[in-house]
Amino acid sequence: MKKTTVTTSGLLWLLLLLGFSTTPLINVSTVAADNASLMWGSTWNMTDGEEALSDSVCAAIRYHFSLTGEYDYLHDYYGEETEKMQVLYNVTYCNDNYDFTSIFYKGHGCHEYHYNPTYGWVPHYWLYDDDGGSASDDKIYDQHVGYRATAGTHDLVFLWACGTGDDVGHIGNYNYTWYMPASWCFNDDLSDDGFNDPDEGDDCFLGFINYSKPFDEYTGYQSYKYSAIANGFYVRTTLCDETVNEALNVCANYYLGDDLDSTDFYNEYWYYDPDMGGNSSCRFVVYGNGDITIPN
Amino acid sequence: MSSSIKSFHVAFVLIAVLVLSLSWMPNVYSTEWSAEKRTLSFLTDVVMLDLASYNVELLHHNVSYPVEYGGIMEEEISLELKTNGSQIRVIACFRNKTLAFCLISVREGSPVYTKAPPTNIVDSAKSILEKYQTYSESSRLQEIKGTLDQIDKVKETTVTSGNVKLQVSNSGRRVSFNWEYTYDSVEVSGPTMVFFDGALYNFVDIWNIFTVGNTAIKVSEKEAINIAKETAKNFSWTVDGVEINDFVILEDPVQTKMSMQAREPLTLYPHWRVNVYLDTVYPGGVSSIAVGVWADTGEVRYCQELSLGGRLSAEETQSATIVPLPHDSTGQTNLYQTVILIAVILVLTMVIVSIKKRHK
Repeated sequence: MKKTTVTTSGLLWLLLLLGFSTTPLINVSTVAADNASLMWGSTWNMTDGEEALSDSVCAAIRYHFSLTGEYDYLHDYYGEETEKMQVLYNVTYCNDNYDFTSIFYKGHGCHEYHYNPTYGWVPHYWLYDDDGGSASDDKIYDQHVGYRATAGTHDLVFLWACGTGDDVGHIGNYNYTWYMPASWCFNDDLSDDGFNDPDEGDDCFLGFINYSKPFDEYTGYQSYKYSAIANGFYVRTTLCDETVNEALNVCANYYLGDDLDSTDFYNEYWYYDPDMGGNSSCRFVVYGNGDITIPN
Repeated sequence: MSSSIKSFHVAFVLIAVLVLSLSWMPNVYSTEWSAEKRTLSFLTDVVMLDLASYNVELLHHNVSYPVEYGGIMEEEISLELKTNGSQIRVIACFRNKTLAFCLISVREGSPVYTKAPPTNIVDSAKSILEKYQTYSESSRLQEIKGTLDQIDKVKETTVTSGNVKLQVSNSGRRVSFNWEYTYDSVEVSGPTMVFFDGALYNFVDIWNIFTVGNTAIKVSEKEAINIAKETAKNFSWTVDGVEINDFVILEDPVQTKMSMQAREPLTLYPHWRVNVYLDTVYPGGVSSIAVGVWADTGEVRYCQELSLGGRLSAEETQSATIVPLPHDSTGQTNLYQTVILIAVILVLTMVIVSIKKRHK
C-alpha cells in the first residue's frame, strides 16, 4: 500500500470520527441549566396586524424569561423557524435535557379523526407550522409530541390556538396520546379545572375550547387587546413570581376589567364560522395545577 | 494624618449622612398617602387579617401613568405575608389613590384573622362591604349592601335593589358576587367580590374612578347594525401586504353588545359593539368584522377584522391513519450527521483526486 493511500485513509477515518463526535459534543455543551422556554408560532393565514402582534408578543415573552436568568435554553422561534421537525426535535431535546420546559405557541389549530386498531376512531389535534397548509408534514400532531414528551417535563404549556383545550386527553398503550394537554404535558390526569380546582401536580396547560381569540381583538375593557393577556401573563409569572392563577387573575383585572371567572373570556364567548355553518361556544381553559410557579 | 485616612473619613461621613437621611424618609412621609399603607389598611381594617402575626415583605411597588386612564397615577403593590403555616400573596392596584383591586392569594395554610370571619359567606360579604364603605369613605356602597340583605346563603341567584343588580355565582370552592348599576337600561359594572375556600380572594372595584357621562341611547340596536354594515363594507385588511377588500357581508347572523365605555378618560358613554359576519373565511382567517359604535352619537369608534385561530375540524374527517413518526427519532440530529458525513466525503474525494493528479 502506498504511503499517500495510507495517509488518506487515516485522514478519512479521523474526519469521520470527528464528524460523528461533534453532534453529541454540541448537545452536551448546551446543557448547563435545568430550564427551557420556547416560543413557537405560525404566520400562515394570518392578517398582517395579527402577525405583527404575535411576533412582538413572542419576542417580549422571550425577553421576560431572559430577565430571570434561569433559562439557558431560551428561544423565540416564532415564524419560519416553527417547522414541524424543528418543533418535534425540540420536544425531544427538552424532554431529554431539562427538568422544566415552558412552551408558548401562537397560531392555528385543528383536528381530525384517525383510526387506531386499539382505540377505534380517535380525535387527533394538530398545530400548524409556519408553512400551514394541509400536508401532514406541516401539522404538528398531538401524538407526535406525546411520543417525545414522555418525561413529563413540559410543565407549563400555553397553546394560543383553536381547539387546543377541547379535552384533557388520554395516554394509551405505547405512549400513544391524543388531545394536546395530555400529549404536551404527558399527563392525562390533569384537573379539568385548574383555575377553580387545581390538582397538586407539576403541570399546567392553558388553551382554548373551540375558537381562540385573535390577539388583535379588543377585549371590551378600555382599549386593551387580547395580546395584552398573553404578554402580561408572562410578565407576572417570570418577573413577579406569581402562580399561573394569580397571574391570570391579575391580568383579567387589568385587561378585562373584572375577575377572570366573571369574564366571557373564561366563561363563554361565541364564534360563528360561516364555512362550518354554525355558532360555537368557546372559552379559555386552565388544566392541571394553576397554583404552580415557574422558575424565575 | 495621611491623605488615604482623610479620604476614608470623608467617605465615612458622606455615607453616614446618606444613611441617616434615608432612614428619616419614612418618617417625613409617614403622614402622607402611601399605596403600601393603604394596602395594609385594607388587609387589617376590611379583611381583618392579623398582620401582627405575619412577617410582611414588600415585593414590589410599581408606579405608572397609563394612557388608558388619561395619565393618572397607577400604583401596584405586591406583598408577601408569612407566618408559621400560612403564606399569602397580596397584589393591590390603586388608581388616583383609589383601590382598583386587591388579590389575596392564600398559597399555604389558612389566613390568620384578628377575629374569625362568619362561616356564612354571605355574612362575610356583608361584613367586608360594611368595612370597605368605611375604608373607602364611599356612599355609593349603601345601595349595594341592600342587595345582600335579600339573600341569606350562597346560591346561584340574581337579585335587584333599586338600580343595583347582584349576581351570585357558586362553582364549589369559588363564590363570586358581581354588582351592576342600571341607568336607563344601560348597565354599568360595579364591584366584584370573590371568595375562594371561604376566604376573600379578589376584591375588584375598578369602575369606581369612572363617572357616567351619558346614558341616553340615541342609536338603536338596528341603527347600530346598519352603521356597522356600512362601515364594514368600506373596510379592508392586509395579508402579506395584499389588501383584502372584496368580501360579502351576511345579513345574518349579527352579534350586538351594549356596554359603557370610556370616550374621554374616566367618563363612560353607552357603546354598541356589533359583529357582522362574512359569507366565508377570507385570507388571514377572517370571518367577521367588529365595529364599535357610540350609542349616544352614532360615531364609529373602531372597525377591525376578526380572524379565526384555526378550524374546529378538518374538512376531511376520519382520514386514513397517519403513520406515527418513530418516537426516538431526533430528525435534527440525524440531519446534522448526514450533512457532516456528505461534507467529509466530498472533502476527502477532492483531496484524493488532487493527490492522484500530483502523482501522475
